[in-house]
Amino acid sequence: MTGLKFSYQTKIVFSNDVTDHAFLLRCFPFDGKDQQVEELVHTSYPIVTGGQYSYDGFGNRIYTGRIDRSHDSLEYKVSGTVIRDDSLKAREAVMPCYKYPSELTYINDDMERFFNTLDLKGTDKEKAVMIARAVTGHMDYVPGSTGVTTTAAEAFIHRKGVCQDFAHVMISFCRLASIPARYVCGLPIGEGETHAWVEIWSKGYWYGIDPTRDCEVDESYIRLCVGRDYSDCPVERGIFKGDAMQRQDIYMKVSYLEEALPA
Amino acid sequence: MERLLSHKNQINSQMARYGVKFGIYKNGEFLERLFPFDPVPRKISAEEYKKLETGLIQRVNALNLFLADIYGEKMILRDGVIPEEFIYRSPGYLSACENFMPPKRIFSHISGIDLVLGNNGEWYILEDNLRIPSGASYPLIARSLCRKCSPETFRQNNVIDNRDYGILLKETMDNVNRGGINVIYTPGRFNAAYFEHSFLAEKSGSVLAESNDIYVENNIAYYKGNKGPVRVGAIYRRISDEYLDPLTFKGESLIGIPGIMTAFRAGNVALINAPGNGVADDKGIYYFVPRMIRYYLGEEPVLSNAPTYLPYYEEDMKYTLDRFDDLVIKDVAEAGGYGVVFGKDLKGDRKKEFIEKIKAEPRRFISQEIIDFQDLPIVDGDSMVERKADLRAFVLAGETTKVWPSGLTRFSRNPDSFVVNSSQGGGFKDTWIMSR
Repeated sequence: MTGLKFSYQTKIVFSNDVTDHAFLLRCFPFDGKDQQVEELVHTSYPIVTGGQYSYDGFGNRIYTGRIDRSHDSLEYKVSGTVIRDDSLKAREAVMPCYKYPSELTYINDDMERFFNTLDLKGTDKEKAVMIARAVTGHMDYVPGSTGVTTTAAEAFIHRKGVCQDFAHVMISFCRLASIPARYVCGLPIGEGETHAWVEIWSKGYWYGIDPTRDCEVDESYIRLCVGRDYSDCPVERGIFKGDAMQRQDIYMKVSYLEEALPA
Repeated sequence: MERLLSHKNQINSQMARYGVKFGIYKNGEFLERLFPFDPVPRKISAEEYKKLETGLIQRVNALNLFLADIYGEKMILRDGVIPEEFIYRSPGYLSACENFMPPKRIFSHISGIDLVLGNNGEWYILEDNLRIPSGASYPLIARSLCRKCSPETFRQNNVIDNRDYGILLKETMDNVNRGGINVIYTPGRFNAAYFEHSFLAEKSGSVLAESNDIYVENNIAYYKGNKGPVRVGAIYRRISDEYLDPLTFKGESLIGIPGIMTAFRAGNVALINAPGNGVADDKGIYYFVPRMIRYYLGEEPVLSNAPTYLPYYEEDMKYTLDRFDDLVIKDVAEAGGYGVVFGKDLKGDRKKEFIEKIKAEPRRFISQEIIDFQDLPIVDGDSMVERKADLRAFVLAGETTKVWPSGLTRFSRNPDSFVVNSSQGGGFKDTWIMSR
């Protein structure tokens, strides 16, 4: 059992005033047995009209709202405490869509050739760990080298990317190996930006593997949202009126609860 | 009847005046065409119609049960009746519709089922259109113009009145309405069926709205009326799933309603038809509809599919390649008469190339026997000619499932063509369902 204190905030700054801004957020930790949300505070600025919490098709908690009057930034913060305990992991049925290629995880011939050179052995989880290792070996972590619409195949060919791309490539290979796999966006221990990793499903349970760091996911990771790939579960999506460019500043911090307590 | 024939030009010019148009995109340009009307009606006898009606209701009920199952329990997959990949590799499957049941478990409120009448006197289902089937307005307006031009034709013939489509549509919307007004939502006047959107709004007493007329707040949809916002309970949206909500689907869509999916999933507004129906009407799934009817209803299908083969199955692949020249091959992802290839039309390298494509992606194609379907007489100048025709039947699922006693009979203007889609330049006829 691990107690974690987290905070996550994003500020979107527009180069000009915008109006009629409708948006959707997916930045709330999953609340379940292996990850229990003890405390959660969510604030937005400017004031949002008609904000509502609900769930999307993957079971992600979402928040939708709108700001109609003129504004030049949107800021949202989520913070609280989470108790992680992997021994309480619940048995779950898998959505069959996690077995098949999705928009950003189609494979190409190069990927298929690469896959055929992998000598995958053992349980699904062992195979997935081998895939993660192969992906880490094949790709370099280069911030800014890819974008949100980069596909697994593109990242694979250029052999570089960020956590999102590592996750996509790994997901493609897992599905090719008939292992159901999903994309996870969340907060790992430490501070900086949000992170993405992979969960594979085997015999009723999901297991987290982080191909960017070539390790298994432990109780220091907090899950925010899941999907077949990034395009299913962006943390924020919005549409507005106005001729404006936007810039995003993201900051998150996760620390162990004991450390966070005042001495 | 002769009187009706003599009014061909008058009816067509009336329709031009009413703006009965069909938009098509050609070489990237939007053109509005008149939809040519032929005055000789297709007649369907009462007895024949009874069978059609029973078969169509059966089919649409099974398709609605299938959709509720796919986005719910998925029993048909667990029981191995349909291979899973026909669902999850289909672009029509939308994960955003998982874990939610639309009001009254109805997904396809308005279905357009295309049929042809074989020379053997047997009707065959050609395809199911469960997303936004268009075309009901054309026979509706043609009938009312014909009645004006030649009222005695309708006194002398026992034709079932079809002018209640608007009422039927209203009942279908009211049945699932979550509180508030009914809206017909159009992508705007550059849509191929804009005429129809405005016409049906008028006939069903709905408000015609387009982008910016509707917004979502507190997961409730509102229409920006000139006396302030009005709550919307049901939206008959004539815009495809991918553009429906930029917060859920294509983010760059400017013609959608931001947040409408969340309002729908919150149970605050009905979407007609429900998003995600594409998984049940692609040409690959078509093959499995008779199996669905047996699986969900425990009945034998009343109406047959055209004989269809799935190269996905080894023996069907063999058959398709052996009999390539006798078959028509269809790309399951395409619609509107696009992606349809007659085996005999392909020669040499093009044929080889196409066969390689089928072998590489067998799931993407179906092959069908070319049905020898009946020609219908068409007025051509002073004489009559024979042309291929099909029938789109409209089936409305409200409190009960009903077939509209009418339909859109489309014919090919080209004597050699089997393709009758309006987007391919065909014309249409009135369809008379006889009361006895």
